[in-house]
Amino acid sequence: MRRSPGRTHQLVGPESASALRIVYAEDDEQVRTTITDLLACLGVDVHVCGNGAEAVLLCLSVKPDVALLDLTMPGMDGFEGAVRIRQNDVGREITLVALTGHMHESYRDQARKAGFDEFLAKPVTMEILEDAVGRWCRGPRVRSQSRF
Amino acid sequence: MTSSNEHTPTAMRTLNEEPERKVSDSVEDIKQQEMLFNQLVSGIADYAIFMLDVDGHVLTWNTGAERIKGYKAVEIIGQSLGVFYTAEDRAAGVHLEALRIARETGKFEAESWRMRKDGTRFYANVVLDALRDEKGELIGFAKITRDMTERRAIEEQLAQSQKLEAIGLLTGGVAHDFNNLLTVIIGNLDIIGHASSTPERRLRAVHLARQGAQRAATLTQQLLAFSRRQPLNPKPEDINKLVAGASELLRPLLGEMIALETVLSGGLWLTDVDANQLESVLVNLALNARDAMPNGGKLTIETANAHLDEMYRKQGNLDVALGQYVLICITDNGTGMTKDVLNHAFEPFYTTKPTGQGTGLGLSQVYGFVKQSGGNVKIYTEVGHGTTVRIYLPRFISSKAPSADVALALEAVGGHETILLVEDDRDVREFGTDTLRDLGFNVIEAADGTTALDILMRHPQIDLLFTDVGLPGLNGRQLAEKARQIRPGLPVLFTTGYARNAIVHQGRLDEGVELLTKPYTRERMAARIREILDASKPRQDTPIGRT
Repeated sequence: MRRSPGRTHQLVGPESASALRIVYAEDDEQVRTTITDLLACLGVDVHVCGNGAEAVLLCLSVKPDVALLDLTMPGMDGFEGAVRIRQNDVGREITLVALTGHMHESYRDQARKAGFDEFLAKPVTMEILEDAVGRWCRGPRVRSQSRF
Repeated sequence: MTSSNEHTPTAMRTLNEEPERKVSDSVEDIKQQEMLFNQLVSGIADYAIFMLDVDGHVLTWNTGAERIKGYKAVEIIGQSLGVFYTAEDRAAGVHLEALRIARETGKFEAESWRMRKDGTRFYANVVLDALRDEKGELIGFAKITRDMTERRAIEEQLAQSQKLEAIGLLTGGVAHDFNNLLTVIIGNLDIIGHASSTPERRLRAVHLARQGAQRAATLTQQLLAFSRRQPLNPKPEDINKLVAGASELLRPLLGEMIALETVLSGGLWLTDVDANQLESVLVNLALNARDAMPNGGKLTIETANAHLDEMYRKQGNLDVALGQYVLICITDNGTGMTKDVLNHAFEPFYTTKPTGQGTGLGLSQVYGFVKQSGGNVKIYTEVGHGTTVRIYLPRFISSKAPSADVALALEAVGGHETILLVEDDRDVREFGTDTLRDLGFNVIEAADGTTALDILMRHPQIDLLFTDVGLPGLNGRQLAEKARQIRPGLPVLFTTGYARNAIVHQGRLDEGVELLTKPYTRERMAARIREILDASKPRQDTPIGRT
């Protein structure tokens, strides 16, 4: 079931993975192909790009349920990308997920401040993504329940 | 003089009084100045300033000397300067050596530990100047000592915190890179095993998982290189040949906007170096140069013979052995580095490249490799003008000729000999056994040295011992020694993922030791084993199977 773009009810999600639309930004080509294929195995509709600026544009045109952003990318990074996405009307309803291999606590703090709803630490496996996709299918997170 | 009464007695008297007053005034002035100077010197509390006679006995003493060293003037005047030195330094005659140097060169300067009257130590900066009279005769020495203990402690603290910061950067960087690579490896293995994967996606996953694992292997190599613990395989090499070969490799990397020029010196000495590692050093430096010249430019690689002398050491290269070196200079006319960037340039994971574009390991790998090879590396850079990296590698002196190129077979070459494989890691052992059997070899495996020796005694047909170095109990080296007592001349191939252990001394392989570094591929393992087996029976026809 695909939602209409101008939805207003916050807690209604796409219900099944095949209807879940994700914008995914990652600069490392091998990681990008891997995670795209993992999500594709789970039946998710994935739209891929290589940095924060492209992610902002893609979010405006694709209007995804979830934007999965790597944090360190050349040009506009994931933090800045999240801020820009949130500034837009379309972006306010997107579940923003930070994805990074950096372990330092400061990355979590900075991600929270940038407006992310979730923090997903690499390495990412099929199991982790399956869990996450199930969660995202249930609808956008209420901000206070953010997963950090 | 133009006055008309210039010769009257009164006038004469007045005239004579002038110079007298001047003389007495200037004597007064000198006395006054001497007094002021004495007050100044004796009043200085931060520096010990005193005089020594020609034999090094104390002649004068100031407030600073009393404060720093704890002696009052009456206690110390007439004593030898030896009392300020530690017992070991005094026994070694360090104080006499200082006097000798000051006497012969006019000056001695040092920083080291000195003793106070109460027996405590302080870290001193010492300057000793020879004092000579108008005829040039030595009349004594001026000595200025400064207490640097506190500053040294602060510097040590700073160095310590910088070290911790660097370790933090290093571990954070390693974790980040490995988390990405693990995503690639584990993620693709998951894709291979997932029910809904298409054949096309599975094939891509196999390829990607392998690529990820290879990147991880490269990363560990870079880290080992930086920490100077990678197994090096140095051979006498002609650097000109290596540079000429590498420049072919570099041209496509540099692109059309950057010209590459090589200036190779004639009569260049040989150097003892790991050619593969040096090649990757050149690639690293060329990539940095390329990034420093976004609008194009010129990269020059020069070679020359060089002699590093005391002067070079004095320019802050204290850990460099004096002697003959082969110099490789890599120069670009790019953006150059600021002083701050230069100070951090060799630190691992320090990068000025945009996020995602540089690992920050290139220069640290260069540094580690050159140092481990007994050489030195220096960067000269100017913002807006460019950068020169100078690499000094020690000259190789021997009758041995440069190594002949050993071409490694691209296909895995098998055989029918019997191999005793000793490895404590079950997965690695399984991989080795399966691969070797697949190649036609007869494999007997053991998980530790004692079992291996037992097998060796029962199976005289064993042609090669292939053993891990780090084994529980008997290590690989001890095992090889005992094995050769049982079977003299038994060919041995060691394997290890790490250089600093029983097999490698100062990061270099012992003569005659064969080593296969981990991680190894089927092709590399097969090639080494074939090579060693063939070398051990030069006149025998060995059945060779190709797979």
